[in-house]
Amino acid sequence: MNYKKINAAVISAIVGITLLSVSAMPAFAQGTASTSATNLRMRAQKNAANTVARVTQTVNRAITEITNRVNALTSLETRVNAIQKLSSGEKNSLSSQIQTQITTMKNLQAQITADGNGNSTSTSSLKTDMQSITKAYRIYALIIPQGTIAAAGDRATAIASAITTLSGSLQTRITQAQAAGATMTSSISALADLKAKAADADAQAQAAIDKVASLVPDNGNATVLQANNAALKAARTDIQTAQKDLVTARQDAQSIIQAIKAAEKTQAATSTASNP
Amino acid sequence: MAIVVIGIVWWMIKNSQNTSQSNINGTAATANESSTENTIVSTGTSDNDLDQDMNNISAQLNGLSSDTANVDASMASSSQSGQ
Repeated sequence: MNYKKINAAVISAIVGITLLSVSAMPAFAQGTASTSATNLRMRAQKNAANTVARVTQTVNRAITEITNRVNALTSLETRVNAIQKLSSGEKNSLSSQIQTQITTMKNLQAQITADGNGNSTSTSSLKTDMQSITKAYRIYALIIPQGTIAAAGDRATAIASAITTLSGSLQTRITQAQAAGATMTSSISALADLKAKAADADAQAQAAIDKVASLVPDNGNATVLQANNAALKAARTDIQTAQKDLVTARQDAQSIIQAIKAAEKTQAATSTASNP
Repeated sequence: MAIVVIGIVWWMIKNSQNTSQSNINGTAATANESSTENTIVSTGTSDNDLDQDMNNISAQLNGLSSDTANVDASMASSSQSGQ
């Protein structure tokens, strides 16, 4: 009897719990679904925020890179405009190339800003535009070295020309010293070396200018990239040789001037001794 | 008041640093804008003329040193960045 009561109570309890569970399940399921949707929505919002932050960061980095390039190009243009010895064709070509790069960089900046503002069809456009800053235009890899080599070559030819002019004045003074009885053998030898070094410096500097004058951005072409790098390196070597030549020529000139002044002193002393 | 002064000093230092950094980035490879002189030497033959010519040539050689340093810097930069 007691067993029957207990069984009835247990069964009643089980049925009750089951009914309660079944009646509560839709609400529970609805609650779970609602939480999942909220989570998804929050995750999507977070992803969107991350994407916006990433795009903003990328655009800002691009603008900084472009600004640095435009500044470097503007400085280079100032230097190129001061060039004296390049032909007007070479100078105009270089200047025009720099101007084109500046304009292109500014246009690219506008495009990248538009990419960042969502005016572009996709973020892949932003990625492509970002890559083009370095790959397509090669400001640092080509344009700046090209311009600096041209500027250095121009200055080297100007100095070589000046030293050649100076050699005429030195020759005059050597001849005068010889006429006054001084032995100027070392100075004559130094003058010959000075002229040779000035001529070589001029040739080396001009060769450097010629090597870089017609280089164009590789636009991803590996063969053109290698040729450009080889030309820039060879031109740099030419400039270094020209610089060494000019330093040596300057030393020659200095030794000649010292010899001339020493010969004058000797002559003055001799003259005083013979005519007290 | 002290906070305002500190803020202004901080802003000035920060602004100065930004300007310096911008200059470094912008002109690292193209510093030294001194132009090549049209006439570096005279055709005079006096001691003074020769001394002056030598001074001018030395100045231009210094400029050439800067130019070649710029060449080296620009090429080092290009080989590092590939840009």
